[in-house]
Amino acid sequence: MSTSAHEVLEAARVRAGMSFDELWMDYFALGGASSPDIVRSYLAGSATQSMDYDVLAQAINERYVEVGGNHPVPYREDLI
Amino acid sequence: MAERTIGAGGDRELGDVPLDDLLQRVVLLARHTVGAAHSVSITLADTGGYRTSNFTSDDALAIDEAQYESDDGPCLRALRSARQVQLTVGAGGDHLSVFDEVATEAGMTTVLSTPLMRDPGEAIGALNIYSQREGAFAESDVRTASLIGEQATILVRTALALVSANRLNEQLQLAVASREIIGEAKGIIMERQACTRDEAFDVLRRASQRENRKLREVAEDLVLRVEAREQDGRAD
Repeated sequence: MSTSAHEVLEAARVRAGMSFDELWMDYFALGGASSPDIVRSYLAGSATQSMDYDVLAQAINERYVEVGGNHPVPYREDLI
Repeated sequence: MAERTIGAGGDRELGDVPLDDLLQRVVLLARHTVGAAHSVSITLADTGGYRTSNFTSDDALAIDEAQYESDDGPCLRALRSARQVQLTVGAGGDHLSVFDEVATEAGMTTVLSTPLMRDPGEAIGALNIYSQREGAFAESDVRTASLIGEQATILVRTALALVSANRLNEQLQLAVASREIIGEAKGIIMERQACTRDEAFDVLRRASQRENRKLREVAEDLVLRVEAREQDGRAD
């Protein structure tokens, strides 16, 4: 079974040591417009609508940039 | 007796009064209203562990710190159980703990630790009252300690809520400023490339990845470049 997009993000968030609140604040700063509740349910896999996947991926990637990584979280176009 | 304090609440303030000063009044109040009290201190639990924020004399500080170092003693038991703990020094008989030794050396006979509660069942600190009198604390002393503990709890909780509200405020201000600059950059790209908002975001995020910089910085550069060019244009 292939890993779905939201699972990729949630695993990357945990690996990056980001709390959900931190992720949402960074996502919001990058222009993300969904409420914390909607983002939370998306990450938990219970949202029906498609989300700003790339904005969330960017928010997590920027955390990695801070510690010397270079965008390890795949963007939507890189997901198989 | 030296009445002093060490840096406790940092920059936390209620009104104009630093939390540290308010808590110092609490330990002094306990020292003077609990009949058997000899020295009083407040333990606060932090992310980094435990520390004594306030004390009425050095012996209380020394006994507190012996408890943190040995990870045992009445103030930690009160904190962890979220219950008031009264203990007779040396009650363990032959087996003396580090706490027993240090407390005995300071001439203490009993201690009463009252938890400061963050939520029901979860303590955030403890009010420690050390006594040199023989026998247990009087019922009225225990009640007074509980009442003072409740007041201290309210101070600490309010100060913590203020700190987190201020922090959230600052974060939101930064986030809104970042959204603004990114929104401006997206607008510029949309106009230039006749693309959608999402496609404009893709342009920024690819540049961010290519240059390994934050997207906000890439956006800021673009906006500044365009603004500089506009000014040059007007100057011509």
